[in-house]
Amino acid sequence: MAPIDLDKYVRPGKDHFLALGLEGSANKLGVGVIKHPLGELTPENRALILSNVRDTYITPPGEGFLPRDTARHHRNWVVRIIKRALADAGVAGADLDCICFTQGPGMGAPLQSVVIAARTLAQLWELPLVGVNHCVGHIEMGREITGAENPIVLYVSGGNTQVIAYSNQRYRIFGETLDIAIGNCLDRFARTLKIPNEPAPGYNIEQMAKRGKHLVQLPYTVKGMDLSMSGILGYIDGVAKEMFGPQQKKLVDKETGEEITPEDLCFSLQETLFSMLVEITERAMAHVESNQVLIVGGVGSNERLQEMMALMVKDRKNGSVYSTDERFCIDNGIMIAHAGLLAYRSGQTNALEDTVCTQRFRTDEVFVEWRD
Amino acid sequence: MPIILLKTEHLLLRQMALDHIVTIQIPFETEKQASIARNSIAADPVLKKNEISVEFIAEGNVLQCKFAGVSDRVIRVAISNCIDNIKTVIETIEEFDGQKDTLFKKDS
Amino acid sequence: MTTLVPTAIYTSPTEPIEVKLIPGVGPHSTDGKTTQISEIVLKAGGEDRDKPSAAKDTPLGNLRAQLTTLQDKLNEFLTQKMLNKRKLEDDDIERRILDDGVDEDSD
Repeated sequence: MAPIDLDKYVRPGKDHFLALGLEGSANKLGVGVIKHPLGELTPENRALILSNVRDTYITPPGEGFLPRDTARHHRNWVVRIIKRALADAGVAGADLDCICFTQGPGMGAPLQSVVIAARTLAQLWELPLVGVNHCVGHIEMGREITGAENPIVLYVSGGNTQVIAYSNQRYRIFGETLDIAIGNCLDRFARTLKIPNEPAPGYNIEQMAKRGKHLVQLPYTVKGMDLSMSGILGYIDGVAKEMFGPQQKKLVDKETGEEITPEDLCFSLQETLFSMLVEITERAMAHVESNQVLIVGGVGSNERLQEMMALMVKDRKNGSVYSTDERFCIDNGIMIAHAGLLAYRSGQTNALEDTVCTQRFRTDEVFVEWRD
Repeated sequence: MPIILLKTEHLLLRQMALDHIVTIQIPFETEKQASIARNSIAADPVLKKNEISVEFIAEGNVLQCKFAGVSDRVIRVAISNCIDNIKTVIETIEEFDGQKDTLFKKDS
Repeated sequence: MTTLVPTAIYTSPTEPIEVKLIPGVGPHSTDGKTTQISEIVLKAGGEDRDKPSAAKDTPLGNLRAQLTTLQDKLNEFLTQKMLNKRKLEDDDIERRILDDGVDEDSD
């Protein structure tokens, strides 16, 4: 049950709320329109996705995305993508209740290039702005899509790796990476192997890993509830450079004597990193006595991760794993619209001077007024 | 020695002067558009306040942006970034001003 | 049609008399010279799929294109100033090295 009246701000004569959401904290620019019927959202009274448009800034193989070019991508596309999202939704500005935007965490320049458009549009159409924490966007969207009520959340993306549990109107971080994010780790290894960045470097690693057979021993670095990945990346980068660099060193599997391939390296990296994630997630579940896991964030679409998590929860009573497909787990505007609309219905809006984006914005800073 | 110290101080003072100044005037169609543009770009804080000061004023239909910095390098970066933002504002105004009731068509 | 023309004025210690920059006669485009994608991306074999939308033939469309030209002119002007200053500083350093010690005592 929601602790507050979520219909207090409904416009006269309307039986629903509509929000536009803008996301641009990393290399994806996403705009979406969501509709909430009156009343608390339940499996019988669900949010309705009216549009979800995304355009990704893609770099050549071996290259990461620079803030400057990413901001340029967002800036040059944002008006066209907003228009497309409104057209897809069949919604006019006058129908909207608010405009939601990602306030952080993320890359400074890309965030700023999107909020500029949000501020202008909000003033033109005299609509309130709602700043959204990107991580809370992922969590709320994951809950809405999967129906998971009170899960342990594993948030895994290019910029974040967190195990989160809800308590007392905050999403509290149980464990997290001490250095780089898991998506960043996978992307950077993809760059080492010069795997294409299209459609996504992590996706291409996943496909190669499926063909891997031999497990190369890598460091395993779980530290209490936290984990560290930069050492693992450094190690496997070193192995790859020896194999494919000028040395052309041959590595063989000890049991079969077969040669280690790039596919084996992708497989080994995934297996190691995902085992670490499973371990800390399991610990968090034991701690809060939960048997549900919700995986959100771009890496959440990895089927092997979902499978390993499912194996772990299988042993628990009524254990279940929830995940979403790439429309929702990869950064998108609809999750910003959804979480923003929940905040708006709780009475949260941002005055213009309060719309400054911030690269650091911790998940537990957000007051989750809409939950019990 | 005291002479050298004085010279250093003099150098610091000279470096701190915000005497590289660019003032940009951008006319809009209406007073309201100029004021919206000002509000959209002025919300963000200026970084490195000891190296640059930025001022945005909407007067009538004109947006005036004044950059005063310690060097050409400092103001160049700030100016180009600001113009990038103003171009986003202009495009947003052009597409959406007066279109609040419009149902946009797909692929238009 | 109203023409909305952005302008800029520059002053500095080396340029006490105002320097005025204007977009000029054109043609003007939103695809500015100084706002292209990074060299790094192009050198790595990437292409620019993110050009700005073309300006419409409206007052605001023309303003956006003219402002892009003014941005190019400002960037080029200030970059040139930076290069000049660096040259002055280099000359200054050269002078100080050559006249080592003399400067120190002259005040």
